[in-house]
Amino acid sequence: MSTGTITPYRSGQEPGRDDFPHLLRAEWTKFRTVRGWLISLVAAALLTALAVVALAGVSNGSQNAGAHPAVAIGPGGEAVTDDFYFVHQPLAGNGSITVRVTSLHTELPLTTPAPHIAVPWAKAGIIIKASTRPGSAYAAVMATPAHGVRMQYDYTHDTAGLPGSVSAASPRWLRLTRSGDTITGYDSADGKHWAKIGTASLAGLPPTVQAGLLVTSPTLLVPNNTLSCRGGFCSAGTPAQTFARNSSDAPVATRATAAFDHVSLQGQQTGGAWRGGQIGFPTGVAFICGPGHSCPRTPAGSFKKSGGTFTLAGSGDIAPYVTVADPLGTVLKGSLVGLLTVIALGALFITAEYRRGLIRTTFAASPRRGRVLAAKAIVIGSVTFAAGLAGAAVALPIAERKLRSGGWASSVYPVWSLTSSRGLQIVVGTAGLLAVAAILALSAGAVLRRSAGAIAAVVVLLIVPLILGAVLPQGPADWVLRLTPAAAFGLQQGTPHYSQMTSVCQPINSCFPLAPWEGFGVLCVWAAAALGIAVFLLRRRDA
Amino acid sequence: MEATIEVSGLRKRFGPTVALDGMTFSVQPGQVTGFVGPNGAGKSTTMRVILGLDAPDDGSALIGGQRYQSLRHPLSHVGSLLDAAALQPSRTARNHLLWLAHSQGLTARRVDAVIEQAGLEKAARRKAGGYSLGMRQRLGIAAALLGDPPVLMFDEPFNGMDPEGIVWMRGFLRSLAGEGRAVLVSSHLMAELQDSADHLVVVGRGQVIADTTVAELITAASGDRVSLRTTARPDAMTALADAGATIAATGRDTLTVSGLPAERIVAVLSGSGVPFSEVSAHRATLEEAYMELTRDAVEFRAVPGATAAGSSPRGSSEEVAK
Repeated sequence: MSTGTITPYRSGQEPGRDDFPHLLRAEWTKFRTVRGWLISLVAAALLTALAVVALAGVSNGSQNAGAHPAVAIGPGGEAVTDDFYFVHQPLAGNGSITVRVTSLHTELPLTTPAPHIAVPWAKAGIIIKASTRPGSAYAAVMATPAHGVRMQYDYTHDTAGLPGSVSAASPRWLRLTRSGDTITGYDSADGKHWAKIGTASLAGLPPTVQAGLLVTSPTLLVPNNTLSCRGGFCSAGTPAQTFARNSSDAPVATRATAAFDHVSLQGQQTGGAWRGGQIGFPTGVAFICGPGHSCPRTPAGSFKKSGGTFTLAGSGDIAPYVTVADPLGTVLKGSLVGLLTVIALGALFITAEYRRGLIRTTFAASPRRGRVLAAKAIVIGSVTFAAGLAGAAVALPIAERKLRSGGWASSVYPVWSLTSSRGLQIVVGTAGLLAVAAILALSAGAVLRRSAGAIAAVVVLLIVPLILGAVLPQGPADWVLRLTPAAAFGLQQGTPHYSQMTSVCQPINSCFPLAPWEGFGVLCVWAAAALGIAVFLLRRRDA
Repeated sequence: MEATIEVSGLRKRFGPTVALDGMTFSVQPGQVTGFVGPNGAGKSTTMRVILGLDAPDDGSALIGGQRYQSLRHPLSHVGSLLDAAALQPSRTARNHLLWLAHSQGLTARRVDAVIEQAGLEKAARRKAGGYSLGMRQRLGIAAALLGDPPVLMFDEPFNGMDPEGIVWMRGFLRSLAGEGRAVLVSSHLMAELQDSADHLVVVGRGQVIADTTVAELITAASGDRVSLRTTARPDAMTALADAGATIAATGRDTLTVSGLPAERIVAVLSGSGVPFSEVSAHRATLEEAYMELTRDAVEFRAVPGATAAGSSPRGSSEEVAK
């Protein structure tokens, strides 16, 4: 027994000041000192790479050879469609072109008279184009039946102008001006009050360009037997019926006719003759259009000038060339194996502590529980990000090579190197997907305190929507893939998708309703919300 | 910071169960304070509240005047061992200590020092999953010592220890207190604390029953009782009861008498002609004192005396006062 006066004990250990780095270091020490976790992490990287490469190895694209004859190569090297009826003359140096569009209608050129069919993205307007070579640089301002006035340039860029459709009572005035490499688009409802839509910077535009009027109307994909015509009007099924592209879906060529007046070309040498002609794929020729399909013959375009009124008819599209199949996006689904592994790791990183009662040791050492969870999230997020990055970076070039040797033409199915922006998006996106999914699993583990429940919850949130997206009708499927964390799988799209064109977009083809980084944002919001709930409960509940 | 624990008015319910019902006591530096009471008395809950792990419904627990949650690097203020089994089985003992050290900004050198202090040098690089309970207790003690704290708290540290370990643990607790630290050790078996505790906080049903020194406790429990050995037990009981004593039969031929001094008992028995072979002042053991105190506080008593199972009732020991 101690006797006499007691000198209170003073700790001989004087720790440093800033404690969050200490927490991070402690959680990292925890992670690295469980060998099974390290092995799982390496396995996640290896499995991701192996599964993607294995899928690429069995992916056969040879049946698609020759299925894409109408492809041109755009200014950025990408595959584009550049088919339209063009009435033009040269424009030397700076200048401008102005027209008034008074009508635009679309039809199904099968019979005479041709019945009407709605083509939302038919186009009638003015264009300044580097040359008549398909795929050359351009900027255009155009009226559309369903999307108002648009300014578009170089195939992938799109800006909205005046809304509403065109009629004699409600015409649209359009103007393009060239100043060096810069082209500016304007629109107006009355020809007096003009509004600027946007500007396009077309690097390397030649001194003399082609300026003129254009009309075009894209091919529609019609599910077989859903095309019905009555009284001169045809419709091609409802969107809900078009959820799956099966072998009976058929492409149908359409034609747009538009009337223009108040045509005015200003420049150094004007007053030449307007010449009309088809740009791009020759009309009237049938070609094979996808496996087992005969594409319809492209209807012939036409040009008629009567007084100041120009009437043009044309078919085709000026747009990125987007394939339905996305072989790269499909084989990247191999990363699901790695994803499941990191979900389990994320959950176990905290549920293992609950199972053993170790969480009490953790919280006794660091009573600020929110910071503990933040440190855990940073550690598990970082290590799984690294694993995903390694796995995807190794897999992408090998998968690319295997897809090319498997018959997927590089002219149509884009090639993404590790240094291209989409290649980076795929690799960094896959890593980010794994990292945020692991953080979501960690949060679920903190809330549920049980490994099995947490893993199941995250799998249900992340992977079940993928399956639902493939089996539900398009409408509900799109909402499932907008609202659930599965939206983030859009990061793995190998084929870009554009809102300025009608394209078949299904999760089975790795196409998601949200843009890739928006989809990733949805996952991040889910993870942040789960983390917030977890911190709230950790603070409230007894450990 | 003063090396004290002050617990005042802690209340906590778990559903319909009252775990803490106004728990109040304090732990002073330089001594080992035994925290004893039957299972379910609220010892572990109190310790969890002190460590900020469980939130009390009412009351407060302070370490040197501060709430645990407000301590920066708390392991250099309070070291604790709550549950020796709380380990990741696939992590080595050294790595377990290493992450704890890192969380406090301490280095691996400190880890090696506490491994040596706890006598774990040989096993430190083995997976904790293969440890016996006794070794886990040593590992838990090493963890508690990491921050070299002035306050230490151990929940049932003797559990699973072999006799050699128990002897080591007693000496170890004494030496920690000898350095001026405040040491709180809980046990549900008084015998374990017999040679190590200076002060006792006896609890039952979430309340403090006694807060006293070991010596005072035994004096109080012994009272003015007298032990009597007689072959004519019924006659003795009758005679003594008539004389105003309270009698309890403690064996086939033994009685404990209270309310009469020994000389008076001898006179009464002699006067009535009742034979007796031994009359002595009753000397309570610590165990008895504890049993006496906690009799009403035992939560579950299926078989009388069942809570004392595993303890070895001893005769009078050196601890007994007077």
